Amino acid sequence: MKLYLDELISKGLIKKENVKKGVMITITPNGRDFLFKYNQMREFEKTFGL
Amino acid sequence: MVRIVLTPEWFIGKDVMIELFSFLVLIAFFILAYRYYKINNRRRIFYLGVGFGLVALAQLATILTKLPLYYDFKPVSQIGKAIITSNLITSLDFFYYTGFFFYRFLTLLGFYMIYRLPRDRKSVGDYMVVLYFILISSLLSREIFYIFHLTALFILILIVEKYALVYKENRFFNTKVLIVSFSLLALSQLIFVLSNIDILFALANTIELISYSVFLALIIRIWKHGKKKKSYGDHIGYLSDSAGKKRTH
Repeated sequence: MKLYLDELISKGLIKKENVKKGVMITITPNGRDFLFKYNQMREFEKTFGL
Repeated sequence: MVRIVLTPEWFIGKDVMIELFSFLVLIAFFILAYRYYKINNRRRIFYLGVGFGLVALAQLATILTKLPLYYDFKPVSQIGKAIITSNLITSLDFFYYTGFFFYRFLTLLGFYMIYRLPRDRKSVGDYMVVLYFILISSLLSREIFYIFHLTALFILILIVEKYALVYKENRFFNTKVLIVSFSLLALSQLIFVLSNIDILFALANTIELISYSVFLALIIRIWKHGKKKKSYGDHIGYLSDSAGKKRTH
């Protein structure tokens, strides 16, 4: 899990923020954009049965 | 004498607009497929994109061939005059025939690529046989125009059958839309076979326009799907020392 998070952070897709409760992980605008494209890609693949 | 185009006079220009619209829709499919290929590097997506890209290029070839034929473009007419004065009149015919040949060849090749995708690997020989028949159909269609439309109809029926099988498995609405658009495209090819009759030529073009409009609707559906926001917003979760803590947002 930590490895995945580190990779996502290094790629600028998510970021860690220290808050009172602990560490909050939020998605970055780049991450959100990637997620949009990924969802579209899945939809595209499903449509064509790829 | 062989007619270069079958477009009735009253439909001239409108057919180019339909082809331009088709080109834009097909190129949009190519761009989408290429973008998704960059994300997951799956070759099938890439080849599907190439298939749509080839049909898009075919549309571009016919637009670029028809425009100087329909409208008196100065640079083109000057080139034409130069060719005529230097006794190279056949070169002008060559330009039109080459343009329409590429339209037919790229269309058939593109449709075949779209059809061929999710099948098992074939040998190089199989590809060569198909390429040969596509080439023969494209060349023969110069004299017998309906050979091209019959070949396109045949490949489109195979595509529809393929996606009908995909739909049987996934029951996905988008696949149903895809089947409708390819079926309409097949129907337009069937009517094109009879396009010696002016009104049927226009009808086939109109059905083609409807088909590409359905394709466009599908692109919009796919594009919009990515924009759907999840109910939990942007927050993925909290990391804290107490693993049992529940999410409060």
